[in-house]
Amino acid sequence: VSTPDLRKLAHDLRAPLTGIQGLSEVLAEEDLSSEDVKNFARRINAEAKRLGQLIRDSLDGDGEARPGA
Amino acid sequence: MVRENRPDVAKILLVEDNETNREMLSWRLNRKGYELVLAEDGQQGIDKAHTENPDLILLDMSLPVVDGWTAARQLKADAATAGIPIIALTAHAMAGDREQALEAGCDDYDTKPVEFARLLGKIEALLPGGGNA
Repeated sequence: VSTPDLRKLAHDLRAPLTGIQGLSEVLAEEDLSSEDVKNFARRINAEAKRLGQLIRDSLDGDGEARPGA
Repeated sequence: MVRENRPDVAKILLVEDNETNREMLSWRLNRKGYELVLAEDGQQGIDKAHTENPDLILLDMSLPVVDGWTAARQLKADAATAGIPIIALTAHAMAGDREQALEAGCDDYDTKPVEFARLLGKIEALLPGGGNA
């Protein structure tokens, strides 16, 4: 895996992670309306799916970015 | 939910292309008593810095249309916006990112994922009068 590839991957993974971390902190710490709870939980779920897709695309996909490939 | 709406409340321009992160940060900052103005790309950020006259700008670096480094340089080169403090947000967190952001004219720098308490501290430190806290 080249350094630019790793740099891009680290960047791409941090964007959904930021939302997941921040919104789950909000759910844990704040008093929220049930509407906000549902909205934030849906967003966390969507970002987690995005994260999973990024991992599949970059590490499990065509092998281009697989270590040793 | 209590949302403060004082006329003396500090106004933050958040320039972030990721919708979830934009919503998350604006919600949390709003709850801390800040007024938020949102932009989705670097050009919108530059435009809103002029029209909204924010007290501080939170600027993602990886933005469409005009990237954060270019936006920061333009804002700091323009007398109308040069005085607005800018905190760069980057998802890279690699050696050299901080220096690049500061070279572009940003006043401070933070990394994603965002540690909210740390970011709040940086915001308060850069706002005139120490912010709303």
